[in-house]
Amino acid sequence: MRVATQSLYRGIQQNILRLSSELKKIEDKVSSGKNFNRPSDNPVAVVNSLGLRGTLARIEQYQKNLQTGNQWLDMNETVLEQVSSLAARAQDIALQLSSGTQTAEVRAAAVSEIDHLLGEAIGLGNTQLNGKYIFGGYRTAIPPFARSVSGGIESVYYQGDGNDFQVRIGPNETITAGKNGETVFMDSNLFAGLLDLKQAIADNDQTAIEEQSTILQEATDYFNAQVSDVGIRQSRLKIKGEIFGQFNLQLQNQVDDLENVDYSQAILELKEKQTAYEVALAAAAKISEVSLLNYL
Amino acid sequence: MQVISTILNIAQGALQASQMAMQTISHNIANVNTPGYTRQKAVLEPQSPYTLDRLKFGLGVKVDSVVQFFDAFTTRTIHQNTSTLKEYETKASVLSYVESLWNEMGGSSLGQTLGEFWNAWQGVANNPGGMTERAALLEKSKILTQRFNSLSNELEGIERNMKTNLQMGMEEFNQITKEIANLNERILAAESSPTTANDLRDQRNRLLEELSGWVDISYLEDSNGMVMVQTSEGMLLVNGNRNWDLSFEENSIYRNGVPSDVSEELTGGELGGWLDIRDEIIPQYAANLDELAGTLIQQVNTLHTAGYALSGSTGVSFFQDFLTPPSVPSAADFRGAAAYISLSSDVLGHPENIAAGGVSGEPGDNENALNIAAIQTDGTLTIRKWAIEDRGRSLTSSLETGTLDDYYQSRIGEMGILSEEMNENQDFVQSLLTRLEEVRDSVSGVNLDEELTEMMKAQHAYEAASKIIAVVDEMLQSLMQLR
Repeated sequence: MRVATQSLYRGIQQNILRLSSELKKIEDKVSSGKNFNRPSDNPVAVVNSLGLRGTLARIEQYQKNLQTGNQWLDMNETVLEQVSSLAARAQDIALQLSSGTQTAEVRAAAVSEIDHLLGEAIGLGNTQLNGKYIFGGYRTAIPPFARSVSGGIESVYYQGDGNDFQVRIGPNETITAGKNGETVFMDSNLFAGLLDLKQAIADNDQTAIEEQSTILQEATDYFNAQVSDVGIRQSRLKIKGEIFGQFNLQLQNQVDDLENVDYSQAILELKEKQTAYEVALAAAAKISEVSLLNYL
Repeated sequence: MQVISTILNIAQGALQASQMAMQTISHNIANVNTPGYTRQKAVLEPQSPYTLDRLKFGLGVKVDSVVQFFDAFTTRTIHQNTSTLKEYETKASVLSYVESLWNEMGGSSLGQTLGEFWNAWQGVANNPGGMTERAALLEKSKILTQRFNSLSNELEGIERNMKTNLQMGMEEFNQITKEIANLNERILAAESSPTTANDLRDQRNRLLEELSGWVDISYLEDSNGMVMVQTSEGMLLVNGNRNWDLSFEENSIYRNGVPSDVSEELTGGELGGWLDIRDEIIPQYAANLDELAGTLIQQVNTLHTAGYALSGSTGVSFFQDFLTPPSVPSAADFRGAAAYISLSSDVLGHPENIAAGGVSGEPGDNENALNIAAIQTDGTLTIRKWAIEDRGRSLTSSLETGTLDDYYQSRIGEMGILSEEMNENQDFVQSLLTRLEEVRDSVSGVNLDEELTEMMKAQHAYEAASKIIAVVDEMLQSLMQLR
């Protein structure tokens, strides 16, 4: 085929341009460390990586949610353990007093201790976490438990509501991080038990003291059951946390594999292109040397 | 004596022919790098012989014509591919700009801000009474709505740029068609004597190639040597010495000032590319972005209005509520939602009005916040996906089921695929054009070595003819010395 002089140069020009654009692509890769910098570089991989990054961001949020859940449950655990031992202590007192007739002094001391325990139990019921009352259901701004005396009869009443605090720990999964005070305290009859016990001791009513001892025993069991219930939920969060931790690591690895340049390969490619580019430049220089003019 | 003077005439004719051949060769050499130049050649022919005593004697050489080595078929193919290449180039460059607007692989992209928005809702769910979390949610929402607004704004900006391009393009376009009509006339005049107007034809071909870069055309040369040019859709642009101007007015393209839009007659080339971008590609991106924003407003507001603010009030919108039809965006028609989306005046600056509560305004109630955060992973949403084709005359929508993220990521994927496709098409047509140009140049292009050889041939012929004159001179002298 006849070759026009212009074609020779055009060929060189276009090859050099093509090689330099390929060279730039690889240089971009190597310098940015990324396999792709825009969707068109590799649409399928980009969509994959967007999906992975989305999941990663969600998991990081779930991990934060787990922290919130753990805070609540840890606080619950501490409080419930204390309340349980408090109930046990009250039962102890009841047992001691039911064993025989006591002096007025002993009874007065017992009454004051029970009263003190009641105050402490109410205080525990009004535990705050970051300024929120955790046993008030959704009413976290006001102390859920209060004492009142009407007509000479003392009582403890609940001013929270019956809702439990949920934390999201997965796409379609929530966990109860805090149960309401109705369930936790009122259903245990602890307050009523303590009040009745106080009254019974004051009245020196042996049968009533024994009755309250049973009620307090039941309350202790009830709180212990709740402690283990909290424990179950804590271990559920722990497992979730481990899963998310592993998942997070895996996803991070996948994102890295997908997005990050394999340097050994990229640098090899870069070398190849550089050589090709140099050869093309050298050829360009040679071509302009060859001409009939040299021999005329 | 007669024979001797004939020899002198032959030698003189040979000198002249060699000079003419040299002239053509130097013209070729001079134009070795001129784009669109077609190599020429002086065609030598023997003079008609004369008869003497039943014998035929040749009368030397003459230049019959100067022809050009023109490859009409390849040239036409090159013109067609030029318009395809320009169309792809135009689209590829705009698409690459759109990609960088979305900046999906970098920070603060729409996808990322959307994720942060949902996470902020979960933050509120973790501490529904906390003002810090509520304020953070409002901040993230503001960033999200602004991202929607600015993307929608940028897309509009591209549409506006296309209009400016079209307006400017028209002027150059008209200049070219006018020039072609003008050359038609000059070629007609030049070729009225039996010769070809080689260089004028080169100029005209060059202009036809340039015009092909603007729009896909077809052309036909009539017996007078004038070309008739029309768009591939059949709209006449040049006929004889006449051309028809296009003008861009009020988003329409008029021909010859007649107020009726002829843009559908223009396909391919830069003009066709700009029109496709203006009427198909960008509107489709905008429409799908609107669907995303509209679905977000709808889903969030439906739950939010049912929830309770800290004050216990309910029925509050989170995002500015839809307009009443026929205004858009409305609950049924999300057009313009991406530009419209903003926080409602009830929650803007009032974090306490965020309806985190599902049953009450109590500070511990996080039910609604949990529900709203769950929209993120709700895979049962059905979102309209628009396909805009045929320069906006065909609008079809289909329903996609999935999460908002799924929908968004699919659109990004499609954007990447389209952009990749345009780049690949562009590379392909570019290399095809290079091949075609090589084929054309193998016929029409100047090869310096070839011209130099021709030059040597002409030079030697010239020297030989001069020698003849010298010899004839000697012959005449010896004749003179007879006596």
